[in-house]
Amino acid sequence: MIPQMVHQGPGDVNPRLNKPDSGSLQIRTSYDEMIPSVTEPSARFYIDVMKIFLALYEGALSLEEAVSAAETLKENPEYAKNAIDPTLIPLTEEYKDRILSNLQTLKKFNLFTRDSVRSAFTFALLTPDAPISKTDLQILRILEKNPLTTLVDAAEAIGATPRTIARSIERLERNFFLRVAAFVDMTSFGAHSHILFFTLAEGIDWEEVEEGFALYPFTKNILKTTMTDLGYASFLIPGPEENLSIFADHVSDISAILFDYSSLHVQEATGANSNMSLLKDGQWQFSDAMLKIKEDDEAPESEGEMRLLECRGWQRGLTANDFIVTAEYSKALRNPPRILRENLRMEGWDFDGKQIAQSVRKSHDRGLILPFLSYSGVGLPTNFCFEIICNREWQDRILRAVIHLPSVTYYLSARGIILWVQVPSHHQVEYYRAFRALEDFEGVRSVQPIMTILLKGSRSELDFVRYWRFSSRGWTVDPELLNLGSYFPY
Amino acid sequence: MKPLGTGALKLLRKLAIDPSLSQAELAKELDVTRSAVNQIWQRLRKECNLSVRGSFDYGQLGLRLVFGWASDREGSDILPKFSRWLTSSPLTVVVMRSVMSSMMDTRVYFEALLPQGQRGVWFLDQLERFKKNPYNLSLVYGFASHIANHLNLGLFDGRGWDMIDGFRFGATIDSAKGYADVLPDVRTSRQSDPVNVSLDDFIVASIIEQDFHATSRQLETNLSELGEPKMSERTLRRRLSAVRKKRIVPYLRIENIGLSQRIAISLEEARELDDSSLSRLLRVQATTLPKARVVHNDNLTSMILDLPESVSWFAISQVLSESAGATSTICTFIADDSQIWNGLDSLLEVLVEHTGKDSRSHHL
Repeated sequence: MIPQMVHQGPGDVNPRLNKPDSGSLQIRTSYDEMIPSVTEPSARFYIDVMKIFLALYEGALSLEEAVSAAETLKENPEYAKNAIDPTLIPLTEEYKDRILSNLQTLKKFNLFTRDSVRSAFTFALLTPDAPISKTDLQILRILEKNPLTTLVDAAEAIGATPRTIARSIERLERNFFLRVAAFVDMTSFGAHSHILFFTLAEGIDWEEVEEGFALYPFTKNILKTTMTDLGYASFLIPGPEENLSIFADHVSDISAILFDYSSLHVQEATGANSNMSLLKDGQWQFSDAMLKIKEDDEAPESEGEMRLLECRGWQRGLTANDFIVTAEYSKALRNPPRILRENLRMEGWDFDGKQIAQSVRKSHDRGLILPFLSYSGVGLPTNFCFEIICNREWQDRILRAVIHLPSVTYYLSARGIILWVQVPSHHQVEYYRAFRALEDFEGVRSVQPIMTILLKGSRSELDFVRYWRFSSRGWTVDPELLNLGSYFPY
Repeated sequence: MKPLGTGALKLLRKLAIDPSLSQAELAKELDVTRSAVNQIWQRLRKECNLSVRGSFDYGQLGLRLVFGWASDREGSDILPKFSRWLTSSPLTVVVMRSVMSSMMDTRVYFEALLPQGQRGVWFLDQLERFKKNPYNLSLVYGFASHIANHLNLGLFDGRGWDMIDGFRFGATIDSAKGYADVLPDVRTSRQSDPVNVSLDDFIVASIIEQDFHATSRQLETNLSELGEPKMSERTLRRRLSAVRKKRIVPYLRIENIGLSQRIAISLEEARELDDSSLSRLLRVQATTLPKARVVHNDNLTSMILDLPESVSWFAISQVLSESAGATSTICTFIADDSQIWNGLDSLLEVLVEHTGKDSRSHHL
């Protein structure tokens, strides 16, 4: 049984956050004079995100109130295009100053369009690089090998005290936004991740397509820049099994009208890897693993374990509660159970400690999650996404090579491999060329890149399941709800 | 990069504001001795290739500047072929290839100086040939109507450059959209229709292009190297002065000042747009960037920017792309190292061959 939700929607939100006549959040901060007033809903979305951050920063809102305010933002269609949770933005003075400076620029120049306000927010969040101490780097290297290592084990590994390790982790969290997160095998709960790459057909308006994807209730995130034709949308599709082919048919139908190119990936496995060992004396070294692919008959061997979470399909004995707890737990694995329980409560789910402990244990024992490190500000500002269509042999070869790169997330499907790669700017050309050169090999059909200044967030799994049913074979919805075509005006 | 001292920075800033200042005028403006200015100047010339160059109204020299860019998917063999042809043509003065472009394709940017007559027509015919079967190259080009070179040392403290913030860059462009037509378009050399010009004047122009303050002695040396008959110093001075009057805009050129990243921006706008366009906004914005060369006509604009390593070319590209809208196509690319930057002197040989050394007055 799914626990009682603490609140269900905006009607239940703290009244001092909501202004019913305009739908705009009424949050008072001492910075209000610097914040431009906008009426257009999509521009207002980003203003409200920044307002919540500022209110949280200066203590005008409690975390609980900020979470409630963030919940109301999810009703704005802009949320599906750019899923931002302001309560997850690290509360640093630097972010506060940059947000305020950009807001002042908007006001000074009278720029109130969605693009301008979004740009003000995006650029404020670009993390400047900070120098990292020798100890902190050592800890980061230990954590990237084992994100859940204990303070005692880490202390032994570098000959320090557990207190030193704890302080170092605090510094890493504060300065580099370190977080131990996890991938979750959604198929264990009956839901399946899909990614659709596309290029628009002649005469098709992106704004309308983006709007359609944003309104579709199964869209997780959307990425398309104004610079290239290629974009993607990702989806989480619940069972039963027949729903997957129904969804694929809908994608095929809209693709015939909207897209010149469309390529649907169904997730088979995922994972992430980083190599802080390439950071020496404050300078990132180039990894030649991608170049060696060309030279060797054998794929480069990986040092250590391949960090890969395979989608194993529905597992008996898992409950909706397990899903909810695991989804929240996967956001920050090192948070103590007390915080996890509080976060769930603020999201609207009330569990007792025992239930949480059981579900967390299950997620580990059954291999439902794969921990990974998330951090920024260490000199990897260039973000690429590559869609690589290739055969199984090349999927494996590429995977074994990319785990040697500074930071990579991978997504495997029967069509090939999708990569999100973060590299230093002074190596961007070399890495980019190494990837594009893969097309020269027979087993690789295409390599298509997207470059972005910031990777976008995605809708939380918990937002989806509020409207799904949990059956004897996991999450399910009525197949009629999957009709993607009904969201496009073509 | 070797940091610059206060004296050198003061001199450079003065020169960047008014590159036509001679060393004597600089000494007066800076309230120092002429020998002090000369000492700094010589050091900057040695360490940073300092020079004051001339940007011409090429029409006054009997030439037209054609500029444009070609693009193709990565891995195509047509673009390298086009690039090789450009490089082999003696009329080509600029060739820049992309190593990475914001549109994830490959690009070649070029400029060529076309004389009147068959040679110029032939060059244009070749460009058209690349647009047709079997090449079908995506190629846009046109004659330049304006050329500008900017150096903004206000952002430089002698050691490093102020961060250029992508958001502020975009915001400034967006905010000026409503009144672009009244923004000043400064230090630009307008290009006129070609006129007939003598070979001697062309030789003088090629010297002034390299050194705006060239002396009669320098001119004499160059003429003698070309086998031209000796002239009196008074004649040489008169010729220098006459050519300087041909609408030359002097500009400061300096290297090794931390601008290690060269990017090219190409903008194509619909022809029906008036001058309150993104092109004008970009041209105005170019004056606020560290170093920029801008060439444009009614619908094409190219900007070659030298930027510090810390600036994200991609962030700049993104804000520009968002400003472009549906009627414009904008692409930014990082240039590779094998660039060609020729001057008027590279055309001298062709023109001498073409007109014959015996004739002293030519239709170039």
